[in-house]
Amino acid sequence: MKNCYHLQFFFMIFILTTLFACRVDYATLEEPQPSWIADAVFYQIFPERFRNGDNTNDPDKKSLYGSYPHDTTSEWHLSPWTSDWYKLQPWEKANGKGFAYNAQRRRYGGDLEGIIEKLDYLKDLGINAIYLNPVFESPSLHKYDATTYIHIDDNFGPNPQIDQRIIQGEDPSDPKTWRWTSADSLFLKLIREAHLRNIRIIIDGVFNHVGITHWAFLDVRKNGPKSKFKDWFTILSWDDPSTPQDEFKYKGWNNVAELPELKEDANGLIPPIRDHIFSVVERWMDPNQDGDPSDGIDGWRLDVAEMIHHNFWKDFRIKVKTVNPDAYITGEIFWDDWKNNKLMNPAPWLKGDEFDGVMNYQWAALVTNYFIDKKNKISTASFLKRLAELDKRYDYRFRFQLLNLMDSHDTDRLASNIVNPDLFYDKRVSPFDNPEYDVRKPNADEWQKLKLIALFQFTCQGAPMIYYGTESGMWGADDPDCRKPMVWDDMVYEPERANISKKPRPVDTVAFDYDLFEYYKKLIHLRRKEIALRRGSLKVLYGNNEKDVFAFTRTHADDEILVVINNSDQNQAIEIKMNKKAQWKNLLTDEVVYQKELQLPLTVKKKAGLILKRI
Amino acid sequence: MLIGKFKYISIISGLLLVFTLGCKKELKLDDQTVAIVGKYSVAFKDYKSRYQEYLDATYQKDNLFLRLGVLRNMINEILLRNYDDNKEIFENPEFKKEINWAKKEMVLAYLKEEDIYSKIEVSDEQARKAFMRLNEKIAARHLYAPTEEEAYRLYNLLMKGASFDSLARVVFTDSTLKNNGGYLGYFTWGDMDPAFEDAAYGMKPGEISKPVKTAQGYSIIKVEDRKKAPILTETEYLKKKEQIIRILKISKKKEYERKYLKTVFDEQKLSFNDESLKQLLDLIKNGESSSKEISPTVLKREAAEYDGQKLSIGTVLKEIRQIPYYHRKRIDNLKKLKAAIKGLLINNTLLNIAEEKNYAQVPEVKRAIQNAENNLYLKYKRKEVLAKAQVPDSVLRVYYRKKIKKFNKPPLIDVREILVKDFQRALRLKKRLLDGEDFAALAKKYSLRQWSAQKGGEIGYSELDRFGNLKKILWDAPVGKIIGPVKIEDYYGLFRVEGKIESKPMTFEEAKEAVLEEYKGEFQTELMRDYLKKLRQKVPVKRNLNLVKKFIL
Repeated sequence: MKNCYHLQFFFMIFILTTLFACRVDYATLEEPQPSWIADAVFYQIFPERFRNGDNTNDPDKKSLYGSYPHDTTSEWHLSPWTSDWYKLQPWEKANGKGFAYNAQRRRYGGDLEGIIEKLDYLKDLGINAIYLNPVFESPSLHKYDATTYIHIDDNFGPNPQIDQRIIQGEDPSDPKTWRWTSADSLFLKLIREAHLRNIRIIIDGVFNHVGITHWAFLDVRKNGPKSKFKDWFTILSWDDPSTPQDEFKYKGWNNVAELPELKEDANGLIPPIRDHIFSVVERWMDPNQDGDPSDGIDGWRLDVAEMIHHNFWKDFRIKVKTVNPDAYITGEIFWDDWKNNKLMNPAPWLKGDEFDGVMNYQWAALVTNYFIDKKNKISTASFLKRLAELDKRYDYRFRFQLLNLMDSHDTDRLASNIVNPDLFYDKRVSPFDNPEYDVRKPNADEWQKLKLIALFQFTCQGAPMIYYGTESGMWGADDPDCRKPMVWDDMVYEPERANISKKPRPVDTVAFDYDLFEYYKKLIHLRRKEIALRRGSLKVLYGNNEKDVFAFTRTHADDEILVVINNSDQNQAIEIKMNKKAQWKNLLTDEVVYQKELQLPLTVKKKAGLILKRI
Repeated sequence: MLIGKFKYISIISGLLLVFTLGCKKELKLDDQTVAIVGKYSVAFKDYKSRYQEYLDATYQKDNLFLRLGVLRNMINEILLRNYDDNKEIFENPEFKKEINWAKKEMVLAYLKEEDIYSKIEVSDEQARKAFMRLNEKIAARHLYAPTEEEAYRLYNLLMKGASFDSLARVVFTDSTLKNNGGYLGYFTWGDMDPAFEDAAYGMKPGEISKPVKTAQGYSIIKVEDRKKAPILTETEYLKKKEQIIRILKISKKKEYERKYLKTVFDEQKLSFNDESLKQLLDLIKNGESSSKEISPTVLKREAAEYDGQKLSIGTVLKEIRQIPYYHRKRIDNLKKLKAAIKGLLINNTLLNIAEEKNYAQVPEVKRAIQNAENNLYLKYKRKEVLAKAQVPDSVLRVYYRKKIKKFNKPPLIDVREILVKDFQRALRLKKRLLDGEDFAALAKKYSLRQWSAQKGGEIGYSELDRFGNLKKILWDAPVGKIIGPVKIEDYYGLFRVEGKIESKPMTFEEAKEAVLEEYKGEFQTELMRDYLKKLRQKVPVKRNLNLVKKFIL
């Protein structure tokens, strides 16, 4: 019986090999677009929680106006950066509303100056592209409820008071009147400083909805059906001034009242909105409008992209690429059917006329299934087969253009994902909707799993993206816990002791994890050094269900790199049959590994991987 | 209707039409003659009918001032025709083309009236139906679909219980129809597409129609309400009958025209050779006068075929060159050229029919052609007189100073361009430009407009107006900015502004020609009057003022 199973598996590997190898005709092969994307290593920053570089611009209670939970009366202070996450501060205790309520009121003061200050840290880590969560003016901590697309949030810049005065002098519907605030200027400086370090920046474009403090929405609320912008939103009923109640009702994203949805027709966002957004695109992509986009952002990450019509994105692409042909456009394509655990197939957006890439959540879910799950774990063969199936859905070049990520501001952190196996990716991954969710810090074995996943992530095709703090040892459940203040090496953190989960937790020390940082740094530098890891073709050479080991090569011109992954809990000895004689160098340890004729014997430690280069 | 058309022409010309020369025998100012001009006379009956026509066309009331004015015009026409040098006009090929064109138009107009419009019949039944509808208002809503398939999809949804409201939200982009469930409000006879109207008037309130084909696509109609005028009497019908029949006839003209054309011209039998047409288009655009340079092999190439009859480039070119310039200049792309060829073929077919029926000899048509000829002659004469008129510098200087703001040098701009066929290529080139590659070198290598490509894409200083839609983008751009890719017709263009020269006022010497042109435009009546005054001094003119004053219309 056992043998029989084996045979089947080898047969499968044979098919897989042909699938994966993807015999390509190099003459007709299209280069990945934009030109830099295949070489990119992304780092995602959630600005409010990354670094407070300037404490004169910190949010005050007034700046919260318009954001959930709409409480600008009870006592409020800036939250201490290094405090125990679930512990309520005295003023939070005083309002008696509990953690969930108060977490949305928390502000930690992260800002642009903080990011600029830490560019050298990021340069040292080795990343060369940043994805910034929304930076446009907004009352919330996450900024997905824009007050305007024209300005950077005043609390991210050096002088909130001056900025408000500048904004008041503008007509937001007329681009000719737009000016630059101090926050805007600092953002342009951030771009300059990043570009000096060869780091590119893409920002979040949230064009499906705005916030209730958005200028057009305020105008509609104030002027009713007479407003110039009445067509920008779907108004369900207008306020009747003769009654004391407010009858004003409108359509919000996902029925969230804080996020009024922008109106669409058969071609996507209606023409006046589209024109406005296109002016915004030009403003941030070529700020001085000299035709040279090097002073602007390098691309867009598009929020809830599947909720805006394809025709809009087609026009959007033409607009963006016209301003900067080398800009990157990536979409958030996440859920197809949240209730039934179905993730969205991104292929319809990846035909060459809309997005260059997407946030590759389907990849993350599959990796979770194989590397993290225990009871629900899939076999090596099934993992490899499904991995190949993902890539079959779009043209070859797109597999180099996707953002391969394990976590983000919308999921639990990778470290916590590992602590809580057998949950569907991003489902019930927070103590709020799953009382069994374990909020503790990972143990040594769990950190080892994280390292193995990182090794796979950094040797795959597609641009890897790490979420801020992954490299410094942060953990945390889904929103809001994935948005804790960044753990830095120059700060002393209160241990995490407080708990809101039913599952008891130990006291966990919080500190910068130097070992993990060095590990990520090594992987990133390896990827940046080895062109085969970035641009090489991928071919599965070996797969063994029982040993839970697989191996693949990445080949580019004369370079060949062999990656071996041992996903089992035991050390494994394997032999891989090669098609020519060679010697190999272990790129993580510099040891040389010898072949016996065509056989390559290898020992791989439990939950570990090898990266070997043919020499 | 035919008369109406001629009236229209006479208003355009501004000068009066028809005049007849008197007999050659003895010239006497008797009660049949209103004027004697040299060897010619103006007969009273001609004068009277022309004056009547003039009043009809301009809706003015009879008065002495107008009587004298019409007479003056008739005298002037005789002077210009017979006592002035008209050689240049009559030998001008454009003039000849226009005359020929006008003749054809008059014959065709008569053919339409006689063979098509006069055949339009409206039965008493139709008039009654319209009358009934006119007295009933219908309120309805509809759903629109561009195709039959889509229309039936919507219809099936409705039948399954979907609401008009929900479907309207999906099918309409118009925000009113989208939000009111496709509600159209009340309408009556003549307000809607005829098919739509027929369907709606056949329905009860609350009923939903199957998809109805209209001129725009398909509509699914739901009648909400019908409101009848309380009583319909036979007297009311008889009172309105004539008017209804007239409107019904007008509304049927297009339909009858289409039907008629189908019997004489079969579009299916017409085919084009696109390659040849492109060559032909170049010849039309560039080779206004250079027919000698076209090689005979090109001229022999087949451009189109109708019903087995092949049309060579040469044949079509000859025909098109017979078209007056102001029509011809509009043929500037392939689509218009095809339409023009089709139009010529149809015209020729119709003219053959008209010739068989001898329509050109019908007195009404002859008269119309004569009118048209006279109008054209006067148009050319006026142009000639103005062109030859001398205006002393001193007068022009005064005029220049008064209107100094009008005389500016146009803004000039120097632009480099790269034109390519596809967007992706344009993007790749833009990236290379942004990466610092030389514009001129890339233009030389890739730009599809050869003459500029050879000069590194540089167009050289030229008037800003030349750039059409791009005018504003280019003028607003700083020098050195790379602009584009911008879609221009079938190309994608990348541009770089090399320099700009702002608009400046011109000196008198620089502006002189423009000043003269402007002056002549403004004072054309005065200049014309002076010219005629000089002519009149050479020829004895006598007027029968008594007759002019006393005749009764």
